[in-house]
Amino acid sequence: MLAKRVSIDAAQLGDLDHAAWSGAEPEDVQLAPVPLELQPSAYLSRGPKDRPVGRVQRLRVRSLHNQNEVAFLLEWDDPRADLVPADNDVFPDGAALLFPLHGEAPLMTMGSPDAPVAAWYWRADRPGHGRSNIATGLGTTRVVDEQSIATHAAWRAGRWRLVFTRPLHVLAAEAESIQLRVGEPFKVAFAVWEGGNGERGGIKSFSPSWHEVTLEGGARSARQE
Amino acid sequence: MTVSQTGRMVDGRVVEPKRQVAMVFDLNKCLGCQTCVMACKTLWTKEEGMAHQWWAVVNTMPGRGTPRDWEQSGGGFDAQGVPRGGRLPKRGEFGEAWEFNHEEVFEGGKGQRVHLKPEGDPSWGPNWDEDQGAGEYPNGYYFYLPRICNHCTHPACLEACPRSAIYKREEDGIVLINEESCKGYRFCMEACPYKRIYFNHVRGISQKCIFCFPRVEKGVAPACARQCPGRLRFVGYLDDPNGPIHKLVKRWRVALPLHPELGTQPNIYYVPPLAPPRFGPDGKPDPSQPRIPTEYLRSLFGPDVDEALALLRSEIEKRRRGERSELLETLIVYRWPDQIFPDFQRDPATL
Repeated sequence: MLAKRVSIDAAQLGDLDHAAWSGAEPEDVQLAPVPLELQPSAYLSRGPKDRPVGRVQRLRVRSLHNQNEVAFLLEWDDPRADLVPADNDVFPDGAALLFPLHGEAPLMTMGSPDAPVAAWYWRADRPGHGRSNIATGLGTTRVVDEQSIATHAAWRAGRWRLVFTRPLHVLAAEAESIQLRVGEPFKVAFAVWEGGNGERGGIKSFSPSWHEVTLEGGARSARQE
Repeated sequence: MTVSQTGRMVDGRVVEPKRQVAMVFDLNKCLGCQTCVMACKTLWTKEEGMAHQWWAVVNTMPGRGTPRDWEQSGGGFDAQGVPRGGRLPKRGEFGEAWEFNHEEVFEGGKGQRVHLKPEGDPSWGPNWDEDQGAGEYPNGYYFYLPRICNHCTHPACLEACPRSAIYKREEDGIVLINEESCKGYRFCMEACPYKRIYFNHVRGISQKCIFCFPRVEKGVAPACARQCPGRLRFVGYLDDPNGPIHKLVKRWRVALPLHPELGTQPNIYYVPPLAPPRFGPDGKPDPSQPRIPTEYLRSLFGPDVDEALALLRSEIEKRRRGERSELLETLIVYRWPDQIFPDFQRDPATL
């Protein structure tokens, strides 16, 4: 996927309804439920197999950048917005991007001790900012920061639209955050949690393979705007 | 990250801790005064998001319990050791923390006209069916069942957590939720068959009884045990042959686990309640039929309950004949605190 370069600022990039998004080429991503057998929990991996997992099956992704910030716009169908975990058995909707921190990492295990993964994580009951997480295997996710990633989400008529915005390079927690460069392809995977289906933790839909993204531009066309 | 194996099933066997601290509750002595419940509440569950949490409860049995219908909510392990699915009890089933009309009654001058009552119109609470029991007059019956986290030897909660946020301490077998690791997934709440885990909606984490481990580490008994005026909550190590726990559980086998068929090997044990005789159709007491049906006690404590009840009766008979009974001396607790929690006698005021 090519993320087109546009000349708008970060606030505009992060605006779901900005006209620039209509010029961004979408990619449709197939999602699959995470297999229960892989969960690092005997209750989940060996317990009842009829537990509902991963209801969302398709995700539409677009990406834009302005050389300083990058934005990813995600869209998916969801009959009901699960915003507030109002009861013990109610969970909020969520979505995330996953990146190998150092170029390569196993996707099915959420990274490994030698190949960590970084995640940008949004939850419907935490508006405005996402979480920057790091993981070195299933069940090891840790929060790195809660400020660097801006989110803007809206649910309308059975569809969620969500945009993540972040500077290409972050200095705070530099070593534990994915650093992106114009012109250099990187891998990304996706996950969606349908809160109304009791999805949380490893119970989610995910893209079973990495997708390659390149931020348009490079050494030749790099210039100050 | 090394995940502790204590409490996990590894190669077909549960990895046991070096020592296991346990409690025995003598149900013959429990009055349902709820002092234990309040001791825990005032010590631990007054922080944000904890108003509805009752880590210690005392349920009237037969009854639906706390949370409502916990005994039909699944969890635990089946006979082959495979985890059973469990449901997440709702907030209303645990019982919400009610707000009361205190100002109106105590300061609004309406104390003579308005009852103190919860706001809204609750239809369930944490102890809603207190003293209802079962049976028909003149053979109605119930008893009180104090319940806390069982700090199981094979905790279903520990094995359910995909983040290994729950661990069992090697030094004493206390099971704890690491609040830094917990992300509030609540699989532990599904898996626990005793439903003693609560969710903190403000902090987004699961919480439960901690066996007062900061007190235990200093030789002070857990608050619920220390505050009990009935002297029915024994605390000690299962492996100490001189302590009351070992004697009641291992030697005399008069203290039994609750719902042993759930497969988690709980470490809270119960001395089953004796009952007066039922009245027969002729209005005369029938000593062969206790008011609390033995079948009901079997459904709670398993088939070993018959022997436990028989032993209690025969020891009472010994005393009636003027003979000594070490079992009854142990249960009566003439001297407090050394005969009820000899390893945890320290007064918390001296901390």
